Amino acid sequence: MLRVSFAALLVIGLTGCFSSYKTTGAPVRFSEMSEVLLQVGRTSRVQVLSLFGAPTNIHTTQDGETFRYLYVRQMADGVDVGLSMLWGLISLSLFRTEAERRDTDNLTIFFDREGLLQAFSFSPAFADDQ
Amino acid sequence: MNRGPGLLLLLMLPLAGCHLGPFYDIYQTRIGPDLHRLSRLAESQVKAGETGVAELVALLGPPTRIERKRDDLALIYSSEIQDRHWYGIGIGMLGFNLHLFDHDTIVEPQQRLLFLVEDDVVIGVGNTVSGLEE
Repeated sequence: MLRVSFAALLVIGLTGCFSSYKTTGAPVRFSEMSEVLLQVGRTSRVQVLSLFGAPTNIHTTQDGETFRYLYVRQMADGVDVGLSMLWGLISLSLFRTEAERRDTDNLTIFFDREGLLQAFSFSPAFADDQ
Repeated sequence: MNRGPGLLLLLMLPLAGCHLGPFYDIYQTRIGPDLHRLSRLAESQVKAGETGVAELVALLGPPTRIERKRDDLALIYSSEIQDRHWYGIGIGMLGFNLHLFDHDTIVEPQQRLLFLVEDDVVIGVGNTVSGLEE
C-alpha cells in the first residue's frame, strides 16, 4: 500500500502543465485601405516600403522583384510527466502530450522590372487571434 | 534549532538562478545595433531623393548587410531581438526543472530598417522597428 502511494505521489510530483506563445517578425500592417492603395502598374517599391516597412525578405528574379512580409505565431500547450535537466537538453519523460499550432500572416508583393506593382497576395492566419 | 541559515539559503535561491515555488523570469536580448536610435536618426535626417549613401553610412554606421539588385542597392540594418517572459510554479535548479505549471511567452520582432538606393542616393525607406526599447 505504501509503495503504491509513493508511486502515485511520485507521478503527481512529476506531472506538469506547460504552455507557450511565440511570435516572430512584426505584425503585417495590411488593412482594407492597403487594398485601395496597392494599384497594379502604379504603386512603386518606395510606396510599398513606406506602407508596410522593410520586408522580411526580398527575392530578385529575371522578371522583377518580390517582397515578402511574414508574421509567425506559434502556440503550444500540453502535459508532461517527467523532468527536464540541463535546460531541456536532457528530458526524462514518462508521458508527454503536446498540441502545437503555427499560423502565419503572409503578404507577398510582386514588382515588374520597372519596380512597379504587378500583383499582391495577403493571407492572414486567422482573424480572432488572442 | 537555528532556522537562520536555512531561511537565508531559501531567500538566496532566486539570486542563484534557482526557484522553489512561483517564479517569473524575464530574458531580454538584442544582437545587432539599436534600431530605435537609428530609426529616430533616419526619420529626422534622411531625406528620400537627397541623402547620399556616404552621408547615410556616416550617420548610421555600417549596415548589417547590403543587397545588390539590378540597378540599385538595398542597405539593411537589422537586429535580432528576443523578449521572453517565463513564469510558473515548481522547482528549478541549475537547469533541472520540475514544474507543476509553466508558461512561456517569446516575442522576436526581427527589427529591420531598409534603405533603397539608386544612383548613390536614398530613394525610399522601409521601417519595421518595434519591440524592446532601451
